[in-house]
Amino acid sequence: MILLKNKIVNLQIKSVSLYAGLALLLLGSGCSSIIDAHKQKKPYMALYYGGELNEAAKDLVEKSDGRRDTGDELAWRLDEGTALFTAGDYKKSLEAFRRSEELIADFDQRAVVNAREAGANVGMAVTNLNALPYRGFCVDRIMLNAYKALDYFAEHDTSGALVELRRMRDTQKTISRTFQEQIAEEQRTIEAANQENRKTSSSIGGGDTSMSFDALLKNSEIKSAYDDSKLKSNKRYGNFINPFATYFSAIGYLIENNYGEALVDFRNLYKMDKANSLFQRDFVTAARMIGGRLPPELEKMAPFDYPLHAKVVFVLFFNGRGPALKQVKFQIVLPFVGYAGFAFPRYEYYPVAFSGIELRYSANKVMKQLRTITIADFDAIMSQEYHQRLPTMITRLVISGLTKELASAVAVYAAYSGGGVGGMLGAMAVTGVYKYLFNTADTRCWETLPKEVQVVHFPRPENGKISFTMLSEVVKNDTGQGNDKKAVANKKPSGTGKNSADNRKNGSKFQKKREIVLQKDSDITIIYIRALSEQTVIYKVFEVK
Amino acid sequence: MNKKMILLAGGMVGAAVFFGGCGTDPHRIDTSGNRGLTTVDDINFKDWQMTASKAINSLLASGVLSRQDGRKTILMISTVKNSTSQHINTKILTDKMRQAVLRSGKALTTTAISGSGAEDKATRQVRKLEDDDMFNQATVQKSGTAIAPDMSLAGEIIQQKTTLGRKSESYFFFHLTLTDLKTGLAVWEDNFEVAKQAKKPVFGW
Repeated sequence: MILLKNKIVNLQIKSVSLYAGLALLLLGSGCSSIIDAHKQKKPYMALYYGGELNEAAKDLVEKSDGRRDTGDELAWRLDEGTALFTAGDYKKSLEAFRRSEELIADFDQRAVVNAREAGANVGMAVTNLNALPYRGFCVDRIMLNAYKALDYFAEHDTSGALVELRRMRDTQKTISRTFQEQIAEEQRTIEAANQENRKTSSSIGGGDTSMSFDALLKNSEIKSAYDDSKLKSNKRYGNFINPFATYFSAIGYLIENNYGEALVDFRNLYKMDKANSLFQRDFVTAARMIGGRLPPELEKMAPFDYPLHAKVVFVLFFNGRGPALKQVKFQIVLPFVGYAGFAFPRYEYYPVAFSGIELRYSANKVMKQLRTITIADFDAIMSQEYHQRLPTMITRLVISGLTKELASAVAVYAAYSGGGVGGMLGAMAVTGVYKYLFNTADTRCWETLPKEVQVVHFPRPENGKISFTMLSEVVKNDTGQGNDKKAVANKKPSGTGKNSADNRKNGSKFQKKREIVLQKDSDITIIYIRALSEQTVIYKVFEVK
Repeated sequence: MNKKMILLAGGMVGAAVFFGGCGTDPHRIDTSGNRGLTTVDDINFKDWQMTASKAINSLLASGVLSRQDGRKTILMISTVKNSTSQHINTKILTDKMRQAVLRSGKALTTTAISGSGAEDKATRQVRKLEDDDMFNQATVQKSGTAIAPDMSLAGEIIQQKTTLGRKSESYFFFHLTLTDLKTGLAVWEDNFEVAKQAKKPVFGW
């Protein structure tokens, strides 16, 4: 009996040493298990949103390469791809996104029970959720192909872009099922961990340690995160549908002269947001074009007085910075171990860069003026997913924390039995440092997405000239969803604008009215405008068809 | 930390290392055999071969390439549109068909014009030499001598993907048409299908 006890003591001391060794190893590896991803990304995002695009892209390439074949790689590659696209290096951007796609496909094609997953779960049990590979949120998987399509358009490869739009549609169609599978898998892990914790607890004389989200929701921090994300999320989008992706899909169908499928997209967009004037008229225009049916409330609405597939300019305005997960901490009383602190991820929201864009162009020698309309709110899209993931994420986090607390209690108990008070204090110090180091939230996410997307379209001007001005001041937007800015021209001093040809290649920085001159008599032109901040706006022109 | 999990993971990692170590060196395979890789989401080389073979047999058997006037039909390769969610080069199919048509002796194909521009730009380029003193003008190809096509081969490849539980499936639908350019009428049409299925394993690396 004494021999057995000594064996257990030795095993526990070895476990403590193993934890300490592992902690030291991970501390030097730049892994998100120790330093949360959001904190690690801060200098990169400062460069990117500060308009230092080439530097941001270069640094992100280096960082992503450094994290190659780790669970963090995808979270870096996505930002690398966006930064390269924004900086105008489309080939490298495609490489980064292709690698991201490979990583996601690899996760999805793994066996139901696989050694890598089991290994990651073991890592997670002794560290935190960052030990699990980042698989990408639903929004990531959809936007990945959207950005690839933009890259292909920039490379004048329309066929390639259309392939990506098809992939984006496939992803959007299946994303709800993928999400449900992920949640079901997490529920199974939670149940298994609950069971193991109960066993460990009873082995050292503790009671039932089962945790449920309902119980955890009594904690004010958790409740606040849950309620806030519920408030921010937009139920109308439903099932992780991203209205920008649906709109982009419609543009793809228009490029292929496929009004039938474009109509399906416009109808779906109208169902998502019936008050959106752009969705209404797009739906009416496509339906009138092919004799599709309209709901009674739209029957009298006039369609656009130009076709949507020929000699048309679409402006895609990616505005501001999308939400990013940041680390927050909360205290909770756990069964058997008492008070424990946990770090968990919560979205941080950023202000819009501009309220919209005012565009001017000439049609039949008359100057026309119009402004962009919000079609997709990424705060809402991402919050909706977060809100749905939160119950399993928090429960898993707390159960994993409880596992570590129990392991720590076992180790301290074993150290006391084997080495007296000195051993116990030593074990407490090691496990304390260990718990402190690994109390890191999983804040990995795609941080270079926009806060919102606005769109407008108009017939291609005869002279090819389009001017635009960024707008400021807060008022309600077209859809009445608030926190938008009013149509007042931005008065900031002019920036470092380059000539039009340079702008086409590299994008340009500027703060006031600019003019674009279209070069080709294309059927469909896409003008991509990215406002990274109030100081940094770039645009790219894709003359597609 | 539960020991069972460690043992299970350790066992699986050990097995994976053991089996994963048994790789093979790069080697050539017979393109006429069945040893090529098969993936669900892609059109693999065997799929191209089988589809091209069926399409060629169907086209040649239809007899539409034969002419009453004894002249050979001039065929242009138009566009085979990629409507799949894969980045594929449809020239693999059209080039195989073009070569088979030439070999059959029933038609000639033109490289001076195709759906995506000239296959061989030289036909147009050499005619620009008419203004170039460097060349003996008697040897320069004259305008108005290139032969225009009588027929055009075009098509589309569509992919439909389905997933149910652990199973995933891709259905590729190839649709090819041959158009008489004089009348604009399709004189031959055929469809070819490739369906592939895979099941995600329960256990693995």
